[in-house]
Amino acid sequence: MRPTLLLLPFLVACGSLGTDPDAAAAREVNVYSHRHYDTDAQLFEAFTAATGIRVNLVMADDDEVLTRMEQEGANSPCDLLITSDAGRLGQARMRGLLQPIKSAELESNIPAFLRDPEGHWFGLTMRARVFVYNKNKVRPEQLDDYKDLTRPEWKGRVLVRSSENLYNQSLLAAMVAHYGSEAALAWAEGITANMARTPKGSDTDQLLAVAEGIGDVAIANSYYVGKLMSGTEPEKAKARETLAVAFPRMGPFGTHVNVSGAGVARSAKHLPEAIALLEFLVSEEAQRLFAEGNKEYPVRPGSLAEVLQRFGTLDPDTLDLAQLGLNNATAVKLFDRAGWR
Amino acid sequence: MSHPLLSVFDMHFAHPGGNAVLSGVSFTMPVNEVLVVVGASGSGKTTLLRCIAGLDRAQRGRVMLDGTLLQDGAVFMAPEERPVGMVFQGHALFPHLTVDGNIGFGLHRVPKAERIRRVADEVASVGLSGSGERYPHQLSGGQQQRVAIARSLVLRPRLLLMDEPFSDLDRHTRKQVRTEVLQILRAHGTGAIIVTHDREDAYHMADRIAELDQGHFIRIAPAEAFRKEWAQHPFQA
Amino acid sequence: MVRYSRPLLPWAIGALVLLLLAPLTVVVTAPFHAPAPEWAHVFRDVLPVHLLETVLLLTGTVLLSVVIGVLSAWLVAAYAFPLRGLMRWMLVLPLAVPTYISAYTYAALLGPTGTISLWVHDRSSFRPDIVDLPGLIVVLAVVLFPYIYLPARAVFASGLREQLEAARMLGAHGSRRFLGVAVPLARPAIVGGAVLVAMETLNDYGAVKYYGIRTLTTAVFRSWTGLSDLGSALRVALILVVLVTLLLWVERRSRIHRRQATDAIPMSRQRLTGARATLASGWCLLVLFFGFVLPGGKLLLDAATPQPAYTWTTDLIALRNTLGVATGAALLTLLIAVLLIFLLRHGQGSWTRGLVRAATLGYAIPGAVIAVGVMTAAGTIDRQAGLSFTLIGTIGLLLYAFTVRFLAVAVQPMQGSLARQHSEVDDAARMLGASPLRTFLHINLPQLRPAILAAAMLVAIDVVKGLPLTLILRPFNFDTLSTRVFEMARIEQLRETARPALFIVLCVLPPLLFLDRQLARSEG
Repeated sequence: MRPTLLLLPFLVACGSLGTDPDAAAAREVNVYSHRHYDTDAQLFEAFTAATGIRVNLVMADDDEVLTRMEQEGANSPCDLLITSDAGRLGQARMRGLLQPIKSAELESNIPAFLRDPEGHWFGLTMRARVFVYNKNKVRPEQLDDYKDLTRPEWKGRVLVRSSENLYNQSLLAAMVAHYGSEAALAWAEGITANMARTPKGSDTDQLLAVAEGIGDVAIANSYYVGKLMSGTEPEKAKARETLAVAFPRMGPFGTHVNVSGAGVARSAKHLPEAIALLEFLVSEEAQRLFAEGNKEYPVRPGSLAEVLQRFGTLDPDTLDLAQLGLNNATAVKLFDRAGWR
Repeated sequence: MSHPLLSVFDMHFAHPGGNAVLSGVSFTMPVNEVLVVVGASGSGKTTLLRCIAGLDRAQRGRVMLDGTLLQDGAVFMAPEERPVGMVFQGHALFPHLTVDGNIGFGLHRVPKAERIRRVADEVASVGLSGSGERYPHQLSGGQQQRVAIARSLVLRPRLLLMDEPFSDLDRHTRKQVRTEVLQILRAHGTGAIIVTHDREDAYHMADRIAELDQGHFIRIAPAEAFRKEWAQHPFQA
Repeated sequence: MVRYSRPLLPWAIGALVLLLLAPLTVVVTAPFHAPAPEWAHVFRDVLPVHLLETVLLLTGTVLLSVVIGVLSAWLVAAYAFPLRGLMRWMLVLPLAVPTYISAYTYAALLGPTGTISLWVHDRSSFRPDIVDLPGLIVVLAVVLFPYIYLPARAVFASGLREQLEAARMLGAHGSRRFLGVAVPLARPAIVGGAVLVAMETLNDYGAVKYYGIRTLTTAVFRSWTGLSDLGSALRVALILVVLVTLLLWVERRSRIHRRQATDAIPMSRQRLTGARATLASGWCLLVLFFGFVLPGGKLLLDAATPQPAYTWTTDLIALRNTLGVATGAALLTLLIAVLLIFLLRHGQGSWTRGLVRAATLGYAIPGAVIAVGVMTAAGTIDRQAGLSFTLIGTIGLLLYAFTVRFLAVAVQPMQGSLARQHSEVDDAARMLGASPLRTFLHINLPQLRPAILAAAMLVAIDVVKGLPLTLILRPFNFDTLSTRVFEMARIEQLRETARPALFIVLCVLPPLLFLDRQLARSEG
């Protein structure tokens, strides 16, 4: 075979790059999103079907997206920013990347603590940081508070991923907000001392490790638990049989939650379309898809996935979510001091 | 003569799928002899050396050295086991080792003190005293040549094979090195087969000269015979 | 014709180089003026551990890769044994598996709750766990060693015949010829490959994050995303750049006073028999198994499991985009690399060499940081030029970013090939009345053809496997295979990464095998 023939597919693909049959669509909205879920693709399709507005999507990580919006400035094509962290939404607001939106639809359907008071961003779904334990070894009444896991009896039994993970950072940020940094540091140190192993792997890996008896309780995000418990993969059957969920509280406050949320970009060229998409995402139909498809807690009451109902009742901490962003750096520093890798 | 130093009988070699390079070379060499092999390029001179060394494996033939069977139809002694030294056309010095390192390379099993002594003796005997710490690229062509020879001789081989050993030396150095090499060979009592295309080299060094043509020796005779003939036909190789 | 009396072309190329340097300048200068509010913390509490683990990971991975790569290359080049012909080219296959994919599949098999670990644990009390620092070293080395295997094999097979034969005639057996002669003489090639392994290791983010290892690259992201301090992140990135520059300096030094490839005669291979032959075949099979068969097989198995929500079109479009970007990036990078090479050959003074060296620094910088530099430079141009649109998010800028990042990969083989062309030939052409440009086009360039092809393949492979640049700079609705893998891994659906990951491996294979064949031809 002539070696240059190997290049043929590359050249063909290069020629067809950027050609797009639907590019002529009349109305569109441009979205920068941190969310990578299949559910979101379905939601955007449903939106296009209902309104005729095409959704263009760039998916990347939060901070990279924010840097990109900053550098694009007024020319940024972004209309709607979707992230999976309230802290980042707060930052986007502070950096002047978002604009306030007034919408009765949004305000009436989203509880006040899950949106920015001035309408710069709105929560779409909640994810709770919960305890997942081995039913055969642990009684749920031992797991009332996040602090419980720092007690000596849990030594060598706690599983949690690395502090590189955003959801660990926002959990500790919430503690900083409620109790101050000293208590938060003590908690991080207590957990580090009780770890069953050095942090590694994903949230799902922590759950599987509990099922395998590597530890007895894991700290994980609710929607990973929901996906695992409602799944059908045979190799995870053991986990589905052994695991149960507890909703720890933060002292007098509820269970720590973060949100996936969205805000309209200051540079938006398609303002009505962006608002329409935002409103669509809190519609009953969309909220049900978030809940069923991705096992997230909808911000709109009702429509809870069956698997989440089985876990028990979520009583979310109503802390001002902007606090998560403000205290995130502090939380990371405390992790470093606690030696939580 | 009791028994010969080297005897080669009916040696055949062909490259895989290629033409025959050696087709039935036979000869014997007495102890201490310096045999010079001449012949047109492509006549198989280098291949002959490589087959005696064991670097190429002759498809047929028997090689005996000093009463030891090196190769026949059933036996093949690996080149590193043969008491044979070889000096390559390009010297093939190890550029990452000093003069001492090159000369001591084959002595790694010898106790250190003795190795140092033997290397020093050898360095002195080829006139390179004081250059032991230098690297090959810091030496002249003649010096490199001497290192290559010393490196082989320090192991006291029964037979030394040399492939165009003086080809990149100038006329003056060439004469000098030639004489030195001959002295060293005589002093150690080492037999040698030297391949060259240079007639002057040939009759200055050889006890006998063998002429290789189309894969076998067409003549082996004392150097003097060739010298006379060459004087009459100066332009034939 | 352009002549030095009117040096228009060199100036034009110089301007181009400056354009390439813009994002690098941002990355290298920003650490000195951008605010870095958390620097004190990063310096005291982050850097020490991250630096330590970086050094451990780097040392371990490089050493293990050297052992695997050099030993395999020696066996294949110096001996004849069963399956050798097959193993010779198959041992490059591991390079088709990106490090992050190798890391995920190994964790799924041999992690604490991996399939194989569970199987072993059910039958004994032992629980294998590869998800730690030593484990990651193995996981990285078994897919990165071909960077060393390939050049070492080339040198062993055709550069050292006389010296190795001389060693044999001095009584040296196999192991001594290998350690005493072949390895020291192939050192420049081995060090060159080791530097590539080091760069890949330093640049990895997906694998180290998943394995919980703290490296300089995770420190960049910890500062940037965790502490929201881009300034500190850029400072950490600068340390990374300094480290890589150090490595490159070591590489350059290793070539001083070294003549490599002294002759071009293929080595005659020694036939192994009996236990030795079995051992040689067994070693190669083992390396191939861990580097390719195991991760590749796991991908294949996962890809074959039914996935109800899966649509082929998404991956096929991603495949098309991947091939397109790889081709575009390779062509653009080559064009610029050829211009630089022209400048190197026919330009004046040492400033050209300095410029070229600076322009190829992009390979030393993590992709995400390059992306910041590119976005900052493009944003500045947007504003200064008063554009009504933004360059960011265009295919053009993405290709430009790839060029900035991978220029070194293209320039290096060409530079090597050019160095082997005697300058006398250039002089002869000039004396026959040819201009520098004509000399370059008609004398130098035709001889560079193999090197140019190799460079194109190398860039294409890197682009197909690479992730961060595409992720951050891509246009709307633009997926590539690596962004697909990343998105699925991000939401912990590792099984769903198998199909796009398999496509990546398949895309990388043809250029990889092309490279292998090109090298093999020179090995005889």
